[in-house]
Amino acid sequence: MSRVEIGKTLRELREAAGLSQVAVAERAGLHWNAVARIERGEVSPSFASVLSLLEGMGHTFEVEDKSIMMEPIVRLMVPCEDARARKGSAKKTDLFGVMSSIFAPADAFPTRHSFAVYLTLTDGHGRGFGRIVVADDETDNVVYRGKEHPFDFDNDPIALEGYLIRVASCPFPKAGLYRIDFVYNNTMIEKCYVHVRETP
Amino acid sequence: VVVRSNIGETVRELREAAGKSLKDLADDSGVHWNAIARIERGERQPDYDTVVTLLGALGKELRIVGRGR
Repeated sequence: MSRVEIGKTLRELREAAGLSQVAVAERAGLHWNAVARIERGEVSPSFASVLSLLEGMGHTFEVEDKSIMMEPIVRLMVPCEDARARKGSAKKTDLFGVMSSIFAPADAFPTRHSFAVYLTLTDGHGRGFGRIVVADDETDNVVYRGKEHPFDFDNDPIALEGYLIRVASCPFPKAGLYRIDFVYNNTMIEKCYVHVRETP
Repeated sequence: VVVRSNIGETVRELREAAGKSLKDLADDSGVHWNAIARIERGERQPDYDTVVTLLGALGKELRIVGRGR
């Protein structure tokens, strides 16, 4: 955990405990202003201060082996318009507008289209970063490179987790077959395809 | 390992268990060996960042747990 992350975590723990900055500062023997700055990650706090704050809130540190980073396995990768968890059901997710093709009039090229990619992942370990990259399958020219999203996996090898990654305004220079890559920690681990066609 | 307030002692134990000298850990972490020696002896209060760096060089990380487990 970086200084910024520990600051954020300390704030979350404090708020979860319903304590003010003044209250945790008193318990840790610090000035409330120092607590505010530590929570914002503005200062490099002493290890002792961080530990006192944690202990004041009923927590402590353990030293563990660094978690093994491992890319998840992609069980499902579907281009669609949207995905929403079904109300009142922990298990069901509705996928809307699942697509294999995108249509645009011949005179509309280059065209732009916003869609989403629904992924279910399993067996990841630790934190990683994933993004969607769209490329012309014939030429390999990348037309879209999405922002990186953080993924945090606890070591639960059998849980399937669903993620919806939006692809905003992806440019398609011409009709053809496009490849959608899921790139995790800079390695392509799964792909799917979408046909971009001229409206007949 | 639950961290006690003397984190320096924990660092020394982990370093020795890994069979590393002060110089080795200094090379791996980028923290000066003299600073590590003083932290281990409890003569110097390390920054949080320094502790994370030293533990990281020893293949370890900090995790927050509830007390009294």
